[in-house]
Amino acid sequence: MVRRVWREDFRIIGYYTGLVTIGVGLLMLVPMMTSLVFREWASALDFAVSVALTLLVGYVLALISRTKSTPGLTHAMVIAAGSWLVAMVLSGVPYMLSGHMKSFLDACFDTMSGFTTTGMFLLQDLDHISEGLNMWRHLLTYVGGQGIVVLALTFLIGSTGGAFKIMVGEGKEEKLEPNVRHIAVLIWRISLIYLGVGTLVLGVLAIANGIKVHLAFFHGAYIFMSAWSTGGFAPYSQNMLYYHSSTVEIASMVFFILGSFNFALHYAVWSGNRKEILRNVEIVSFTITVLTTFSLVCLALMQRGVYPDAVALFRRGFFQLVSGHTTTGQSNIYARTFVREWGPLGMLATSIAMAIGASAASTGGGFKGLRVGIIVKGIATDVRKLLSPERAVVTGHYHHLHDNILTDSVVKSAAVIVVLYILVYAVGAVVGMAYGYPMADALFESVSAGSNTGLSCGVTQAGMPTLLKIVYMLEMWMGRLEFLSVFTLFGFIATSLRSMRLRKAAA
Amino acid sequence: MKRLWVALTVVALAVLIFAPVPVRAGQPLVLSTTELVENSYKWDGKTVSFKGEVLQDLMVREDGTWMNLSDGNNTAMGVFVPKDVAMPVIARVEDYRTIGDVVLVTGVFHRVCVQHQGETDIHALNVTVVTPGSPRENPIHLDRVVWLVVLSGLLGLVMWLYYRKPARATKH
Amino acid sequence: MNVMKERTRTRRSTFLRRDLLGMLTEVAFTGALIGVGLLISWLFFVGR
Repeated sequence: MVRRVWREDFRIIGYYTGLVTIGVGLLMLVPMMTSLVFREWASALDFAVSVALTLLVGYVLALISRTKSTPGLTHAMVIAAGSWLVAMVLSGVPYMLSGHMKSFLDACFDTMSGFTTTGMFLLQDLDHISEGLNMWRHLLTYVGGQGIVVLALTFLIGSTGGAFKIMVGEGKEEKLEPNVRHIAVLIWRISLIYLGVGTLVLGVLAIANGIKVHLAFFHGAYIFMSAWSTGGFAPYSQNMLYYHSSTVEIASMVFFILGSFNFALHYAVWSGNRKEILRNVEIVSFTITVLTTFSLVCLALMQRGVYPDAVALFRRGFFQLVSGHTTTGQSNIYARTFVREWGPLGMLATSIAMAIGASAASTGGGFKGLRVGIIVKGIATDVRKLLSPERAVVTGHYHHLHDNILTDSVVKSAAVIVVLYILVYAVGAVVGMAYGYPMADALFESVSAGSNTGLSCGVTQAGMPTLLKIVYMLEMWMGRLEFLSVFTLFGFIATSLRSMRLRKAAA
Repeated sequence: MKRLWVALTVVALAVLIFAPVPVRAGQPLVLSTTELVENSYKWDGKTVSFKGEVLQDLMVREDGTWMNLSDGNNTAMGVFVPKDVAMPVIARVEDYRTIGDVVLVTGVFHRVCVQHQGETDIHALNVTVVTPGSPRENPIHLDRVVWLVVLSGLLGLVMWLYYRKPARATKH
Repeated sequence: MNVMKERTRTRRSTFLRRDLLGMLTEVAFTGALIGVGLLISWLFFVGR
């Protein structure tokens, strides 16, 4: 009996992973068609091969594991983590075939970076890739961003109180609800409407700034997808510097700020509850931390006399800081400028912003504004308790879609995840330093990877140590899935191995 | 006789010292993006030379044109050519099927350009096309065509197996 | 039959209006945040 349940678990995981893989394969048709449109025959062939391979793997998986069972929570988490890895490997095939990668590990680094909406890359000679490959890179971040949001909200709607607890770290066995579909459709609707509006606006701005008309809307789409998904890729190695345009940058900034918002918030505001945007704990937290870290950045930049006037300070300082805080990673300065001009304080302030990150259930990374808000309010409540008479009952509240009570358990769950993030950032920083990188650089890059930001100060290069590449990839993965899925996956593997050994011993 | 020699020496020296130097001496060192960014304070405000392939878009604005010149692996610099500077005809710009013209620019490097709100750029004083562009070869690998055929065949088989109705009751 | 059609038509325009208002609210908030950023930059230079 136990044996049959156990094998069924593998079938569920295999089947749904297969389905996700098929989805990825179908997605590859988009860059393939892009290459065909631009008459990039060799690139189109590369994508055709990749489509065939990915679909083959997906269908084989689905065929051998076919099952009618619905996944439970544990299954869903293992599927999330596992299919991420499968997708990472297969999505790297077009990269490898393009000849722009130094190794397969580098290709996996780039696809992991894409799906996790980080934005660091090891791709060689980005300025000379095909339109198809550029479409693929940007599409990866868009889909990666959407996918994780669907997953996050799936748990949120499981059951009101319980699902929320799951989101902040307490696991519980639950079956996926059928209204997952409803939520998913909603998220896609908001995203697609913004995709349309964003591509149009950015495309028009591109044309106004001198980009060729027949390419402008591709640029528009790429920048939008990069911004909305808080990914940070751009079609050229200069990132946003390529465009030399404050209007394009500001428009992109609007989209990446919006992309960093909780999808539940989007839903609330779009359903008529517009006041929510001013009352929501995440938005309040975000506003405060953005303005605070930005002031710190300004302090650093003014102290070093980096920029000559307020407009330059704003255009470079604010853009990078907000790009970091929303964990986007688009940049209008060169990577090494952080080190050579901004200096350690500027880099630290940006690192803090990146570490805090975006909102929960969004495409962004980092601690998440919700947790920061909860922890700060938790501390404030504790202080109030200390100052109040012994018998007084002091309860804290925070507003997230509706008023919620600040229980000790909620604060604890938030704090646990924040500590885990800090641990991840620290390990990455230590490994970087062990390889000789200066502390500010190593910390900056590690936080950038772990928070899925993607701003680089120059550490991320094809020539960087292999172990460091792997460390950053793990950081990106764990940061994106917020540890739960990854731990569940490892837990599942460990349990399976143990029960396999037990059966062998019993036999 | 001696006075004649002295006079000639003086005249020769005068010519050497005061004669205008040929314009050739104006060519500054060609620097790379990496060098300029790493040592931006050193080169800030200096006249430098920069050489790179013209990327896809020449952005014409009201006061000049922006070019992005690629000078290496993932390094490119923005060059602003003001309206009053002569811009040569750029026959080819980079794309997947074309190698763009390689252009040599002499201009002033700005660490944080005031005109462009803090951008790291070069304002060109002189632009010349050094190497004209050419079509780029992107050969189709025959073995990949073979792979495509093989994989598609296998895929077709697996999909057929997956989608066919498990008519176990009627078969046998 | 006709009643059904009426209802869907009204619903679609309500959705569109809500979507637009929602988008505008969000963009307005973001614009305000960016504006404050600009203000802060200016203040740093004025205070110098």
